[in-house]
Amino acid sequence: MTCREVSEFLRAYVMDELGADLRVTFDAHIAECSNCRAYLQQYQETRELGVRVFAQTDATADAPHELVDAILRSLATLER
Amino acid sequence: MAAEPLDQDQPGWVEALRAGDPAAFEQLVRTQSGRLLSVVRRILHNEDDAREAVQEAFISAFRARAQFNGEARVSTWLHRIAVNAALMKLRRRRRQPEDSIEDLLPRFLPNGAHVEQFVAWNEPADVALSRAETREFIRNAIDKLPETYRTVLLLRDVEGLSNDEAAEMLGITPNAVKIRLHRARLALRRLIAPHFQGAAS
Repeated sequence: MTCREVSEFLRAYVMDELGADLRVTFDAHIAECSNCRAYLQQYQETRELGVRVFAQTDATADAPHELVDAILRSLATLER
Repeated sequence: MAAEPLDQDQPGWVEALRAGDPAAFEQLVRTQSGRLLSVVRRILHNEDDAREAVQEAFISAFRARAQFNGEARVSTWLHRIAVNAALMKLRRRRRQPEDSIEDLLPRFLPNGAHVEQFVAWNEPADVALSRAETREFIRNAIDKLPETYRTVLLLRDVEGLSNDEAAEMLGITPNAVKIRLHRARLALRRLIAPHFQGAAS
């Protein structure tokens, strides 16, 4: 397996979707290639950063009063 | 109005929602609008569009209220409806020609080896994200992704939709979602790498 192929399989690898045979050749390449090990680490961290980068924004979110009022008005017209 | 937990577990609440009870919907609007606005703002760049999307989401939710069966959390149900409303707005807007993602993907030598040398990032994600400056940097980097890829990364990694859910909302195959997500992450890695290489010791 080449570095290019390792790069193509990264998503399947981190999602644990690689078949057993591919997994063995993937692991063998990673064990020998420090560059791909570092790239895999960066890929996993990139994913984690994406998952968590907005985590704090939702908890404190406030909607503007005028938006809440507008939504309630539009729902009221639907109810009739 | 801060986001508060909903009384979904209270007896009769789901039935009230399904019946279109105004008080149940008012509670939803008052407790969930802020959170949903944050969600659609990530997808849409324009504040007016984002507010319209939240409004449209509640209208859709009201019209589809009979389909809410109480199995999912009502917050999850609304989240999916809001994401969908934002995507519809994005689609309706005039598309500008998109930058190619190729320049952001890894480069390889003819023998298949990486052109570049990589060093593992020393800083764990949670430590890096404790700095507002890093959060801002990464959010800006996501915004720089070509639209097709940005959307998939937002739906899968940020909003936590399943591959099938994302495929259905985007009207593409589950396999296309996987390919786009992978390229989006590769491209995002390149965009944020300077920040982390600077932090590596």
